[in-house]
Amino acid sequence: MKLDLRTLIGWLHPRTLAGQTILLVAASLFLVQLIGFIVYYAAQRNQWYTVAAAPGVIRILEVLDPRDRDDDSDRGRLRGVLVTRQAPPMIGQNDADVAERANQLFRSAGLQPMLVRAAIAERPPRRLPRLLPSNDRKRAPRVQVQLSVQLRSDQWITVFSRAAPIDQPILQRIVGQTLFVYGIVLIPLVWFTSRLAAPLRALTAATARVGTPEGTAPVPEIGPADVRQLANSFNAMQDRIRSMLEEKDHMLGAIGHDLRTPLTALRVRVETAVEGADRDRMVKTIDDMQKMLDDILSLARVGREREPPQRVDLAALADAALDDFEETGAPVERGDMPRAVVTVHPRAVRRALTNLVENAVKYGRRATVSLRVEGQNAVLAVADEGPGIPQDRIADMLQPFTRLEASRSRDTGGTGLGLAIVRAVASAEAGWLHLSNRPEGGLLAELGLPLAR
Amino acid sequence: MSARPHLLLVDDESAIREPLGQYLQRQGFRVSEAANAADARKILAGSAIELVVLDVMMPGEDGLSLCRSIREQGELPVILLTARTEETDRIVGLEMGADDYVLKPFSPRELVARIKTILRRAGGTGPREVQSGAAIYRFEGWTLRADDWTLTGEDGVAIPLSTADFRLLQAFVTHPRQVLSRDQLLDLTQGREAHAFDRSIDNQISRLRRKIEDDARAPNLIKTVWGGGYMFSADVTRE
Repeated sequence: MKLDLRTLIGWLHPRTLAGQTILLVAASLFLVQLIGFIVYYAAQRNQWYTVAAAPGVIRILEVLDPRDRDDDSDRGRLRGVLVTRQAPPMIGQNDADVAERANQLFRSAGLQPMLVRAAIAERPPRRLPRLLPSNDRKRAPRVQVQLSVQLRSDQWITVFSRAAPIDQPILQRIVGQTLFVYGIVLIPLVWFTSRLAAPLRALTAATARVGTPEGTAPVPEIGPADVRQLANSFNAMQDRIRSMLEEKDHMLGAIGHDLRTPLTALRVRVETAVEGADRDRMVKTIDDMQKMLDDILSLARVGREREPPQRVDLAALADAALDDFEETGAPVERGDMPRAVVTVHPRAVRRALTNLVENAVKYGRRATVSLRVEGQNAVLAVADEGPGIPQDRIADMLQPFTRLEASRSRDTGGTGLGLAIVRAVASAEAGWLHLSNRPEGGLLAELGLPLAR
Repeated sequence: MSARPHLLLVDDESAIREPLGQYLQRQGFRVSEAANAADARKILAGSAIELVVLDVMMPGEDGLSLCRSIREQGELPVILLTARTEETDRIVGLEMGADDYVLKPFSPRELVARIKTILRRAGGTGPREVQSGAAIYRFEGWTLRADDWTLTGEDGVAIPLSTADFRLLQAFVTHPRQVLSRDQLLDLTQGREAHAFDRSIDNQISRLRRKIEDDARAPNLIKTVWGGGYMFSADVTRE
């Protein structure tokens, strides 16, 4: 099985609340299981010494029991028992624990052996199973236990018995049991953590939508009491933010209207009362004020569109905007513009593009607009042939009311809000604005917007 | 159009109404002034007004409401004065039942030019319905949205239109199955900023055909009427 290393690390270091809780509980459970099994195994082993030693001990005690002594049956009594003068060879692995247990048993029966030895042979000699009844073969494999007792300096008694081996499938059992415990504990835990995580996820999603024009529906108040309280206070906060934003919109609308009325009155009076070049200059000033008012209101409203975004062909949008410039005789040129569908508010994006082209025409003599698809983005590029912007001033230019000193003194006008509006539109539409100086001279403004899926 | 056309100027702001009234009188109009909708109704009932210049935002009954009731009674032309706030933004480019609108702050000279254009064509295109929402027109699988100047095809992808294309198409969808002469189309599309459109109507028509017709050389939607002009030959539903 091929396992991606990163996936593995991901599994070992879960990031979510649910993942971390489950991992912690699973690890603790496994540790508890392991300790339990070590204790169990030790007890099992201890018990097995008795199981292995007892048949041999009983057999030897029978042989030595003087009450049963009967000359005729001596042969039968001694069958399977080996009496030697020397220490017999031990068949298999010496086992001091079994020997010690046998010694204890002899002593509790009142016998005082000089020396006890025990050996375990994993497989009994081959011929022995053949003598056994056939159904014995189907039993679990048994081990042969050799028990040799030195009663006097020149007398050893040896018996062979059989016992079930200790090698029970301990690993399978530990795994099986652990899985069983996991089933009991982890299934409810998964349920509980998801109950905990669901309201948190809803809260996260809702937080991401705070302040957007479509707003966010109240978060359902579910889950444990403390999580419910969090959702509850979030909803209260959300209400306050909404009313603040509404207040702002309302105020801007009122300012917009209230300033327009005196501006209109001023303009009507200027045009009816004054004649000549002064009048044109006054009208121009009124127009500039009007433009600034419009820009301030646009900037304040970017990203607060009430309509849902639409799938729009960006090439057609650029085409339409350039048509409008051509109608007024502005020096604009078209580069490549392949079809690129984005999901945006067309009016806002058109406004942004118009601002970029206006800047290029005003400060860079000529605007060349092109469109390209780059990864997951459609990129509108507006290049001009002007002086560009000093590298260290590029970031400043995106701030509202910032203009290059050169442009102020040249009296090219402008409110200093154009690029700020473009940047606000870009971020409201999940895109970006990038300004750079072209190596061949002039400024390159690029507006990236994510392609529609 | 009489020698001294009688205008009604309705605006609650005396700072605008009074100098504007004087200016219009100097430009050769007879001017009655009203500061609110109720006064305006009295004057409308009592004299033969030929055109109404109406402020949208007024305390009490607003200009849109008055415009709607003027429309219900007849074909008296109305020019709306609007401030481009968020609310009235939606009205820009909309059918409002008004014959035209000017944005504050406007140039009085431009207002006079519009008044003259409308009086010249008064009665020509008939009354229009007043609607306060954003107009959406549907025809032959296309959807024209007047609030953001986009035309959406059956694939759901919006095609933004240039100002000229939008105004021409809007003129057609608001007058479906009517023969429109080149002059009428000029009036309908250029009433607002006449200097901005020097392209001939025929050029604009062929541009628009390339966008909406299956085959621009055998047009189905915008048909050329021999000796007459053009006709939009699709049924239009409006929302």
